[in-house]
Amino acid sequence: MIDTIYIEEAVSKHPRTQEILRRFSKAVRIPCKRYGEVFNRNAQNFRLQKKRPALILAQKFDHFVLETPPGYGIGSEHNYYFSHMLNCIYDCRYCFLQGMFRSAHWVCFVNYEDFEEAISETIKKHERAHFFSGYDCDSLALEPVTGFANRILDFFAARPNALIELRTKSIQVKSLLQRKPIKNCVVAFSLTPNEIAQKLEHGAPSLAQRLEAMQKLQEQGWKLGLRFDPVINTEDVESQYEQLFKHVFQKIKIKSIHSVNLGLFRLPKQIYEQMYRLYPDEKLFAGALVERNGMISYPEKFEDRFQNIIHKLLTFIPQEIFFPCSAV
Amino acid sequence: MICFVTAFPAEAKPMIKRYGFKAFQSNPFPIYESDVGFLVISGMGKKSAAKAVSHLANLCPTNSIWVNVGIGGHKDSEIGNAFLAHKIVDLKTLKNWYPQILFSPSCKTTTVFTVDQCETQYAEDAIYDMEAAGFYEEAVHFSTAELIHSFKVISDNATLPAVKVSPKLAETLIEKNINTLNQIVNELSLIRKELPISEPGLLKWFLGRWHFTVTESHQLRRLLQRLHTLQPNKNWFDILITSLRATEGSEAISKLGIASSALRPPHNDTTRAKDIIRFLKDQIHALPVEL
Repeated sequence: MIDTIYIEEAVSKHPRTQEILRRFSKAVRIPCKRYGEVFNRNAQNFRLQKKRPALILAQKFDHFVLETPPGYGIGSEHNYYFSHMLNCIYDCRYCFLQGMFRSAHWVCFVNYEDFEEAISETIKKHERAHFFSGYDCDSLALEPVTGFANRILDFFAARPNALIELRTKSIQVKSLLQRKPIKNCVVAFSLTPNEIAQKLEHGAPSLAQRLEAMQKLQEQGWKLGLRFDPVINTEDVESQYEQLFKHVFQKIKIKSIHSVNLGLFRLPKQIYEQMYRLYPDEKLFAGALVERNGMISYPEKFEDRFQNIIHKLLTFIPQEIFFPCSAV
Repeated sequence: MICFVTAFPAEAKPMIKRYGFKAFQSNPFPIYESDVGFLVISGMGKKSAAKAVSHLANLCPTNSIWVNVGIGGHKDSEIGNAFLAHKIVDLKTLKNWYPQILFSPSCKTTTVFTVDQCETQYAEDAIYDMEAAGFYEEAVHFSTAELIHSFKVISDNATLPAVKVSPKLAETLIEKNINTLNQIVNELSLIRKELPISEPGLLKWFLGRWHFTVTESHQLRRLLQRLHTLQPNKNWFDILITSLRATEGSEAISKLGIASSALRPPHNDTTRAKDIIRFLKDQIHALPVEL
């Protein structure tokens, strides 16, 4: 799975680095001073690198915890995100990471302790705060390699006034199932209709597999988040989402659900442009999209369909657990 | 398109034989051409390698495959061992580059240190050469790191130092590893095919018929690319003409100079470009949504 590992010299002796290197003993090891030498270089191609990503083990020095964009939240006034990893093992065509990063390699910041310290300092500022993991990566997809989620849950278990969301498409929930659920954790799954997922979510577990993982978590008492984001337009989008909702709510009990998001496909213009350059042959990017307020999304004529999808969703869940994503 | 860059004629000979290269140009650098691409002999040193790349790039499309092939020294690797560089360091400037290897080469990979003088100490566990850094630093202006590589065959080590390397030995060493090089070239060719074709085929028809400003040409290119992605079997030029014929009649068609392929419309007809762009945008918005 991992053939090449770049290792920042400063973390070459770190116990976490050593553990990962033992796990991938056959991988080629390439030293570097800072991960940016590899990750941030010009003249590299994200699309090509997705065929064979490398792992980069690095140290993060600052900006451990950042405020979320305005309108991003699930019920708290204070919202932050952090990323112990950059990039995702899946290859979802709509994902903004393709347009944001020059490289498709997976960066893992091994200094978890520094993340915890920064989160701790942030928690002290507020009575209540929400923290989102999985903004620049999938929170659980590489959990068997990184062990990050297991560690951070110990941290949050001791801080009940802070909530953590683990956003994922992964079914790597073993470490969660092997421990008692913590009340202040939401395991949030991104969900798309099957027909769309098959075309756009390359390498990701199927909807059925994700629902099975969610059911196991539900049975153990973990709180779940449903993230219907992004909504991708198709000719049959309304019936596709109706089928999706029926399927999901047959399997997931309302009392297990902490929150539900739903948001339209939208990208900052610069990121969309980069994604288009990488995939000019992708129908998703070639279709009818417009620019509004610096964001690329669907034309206003799609708004009715989108509102119908929201109305349909609200026939399955109470309004108070619904948090729509910001409009464009 | 594959662009080989090598320092000496002796290193080039096995590739000339393998790929059927014929002499193409001799000034300022000897360049050879074949069905696979080009080969340039740069002469010794990183500056020469950089200049050779820059010169050859004028003949090659963007995102060609670039391979620097040559001999190098290592403290204890056996003479004749071949390596692909996974890191290149200019030991004078300490600049470094990381060729992206997205396949399993049939040789090992290692760090290459580029030096200004022939190496005799071989202090580190790395290959010492004199061209790779110059080659790579220049080649990244014309292609992407996944398609630019440096292939080195060990010609000298602590036991057999560089001063004893003859042209005949260099040729023999490259020849012995030509199959490994070919495997790498084949893999790179497969990777190169993953990159999308960026120029829509109909573009020249439109640009040949009407005047578009630079900005409009970019818009046109993008619109035609999008339409080709959404409906690859449609000829949008024909569709435009049919639409114009239906809405404006044959007089408009003849004014456009389309009725006769020999006629070209006046170059001051700038409004037509805007109409065409609007037409193509409308087509995109009218198409059914497909993934």
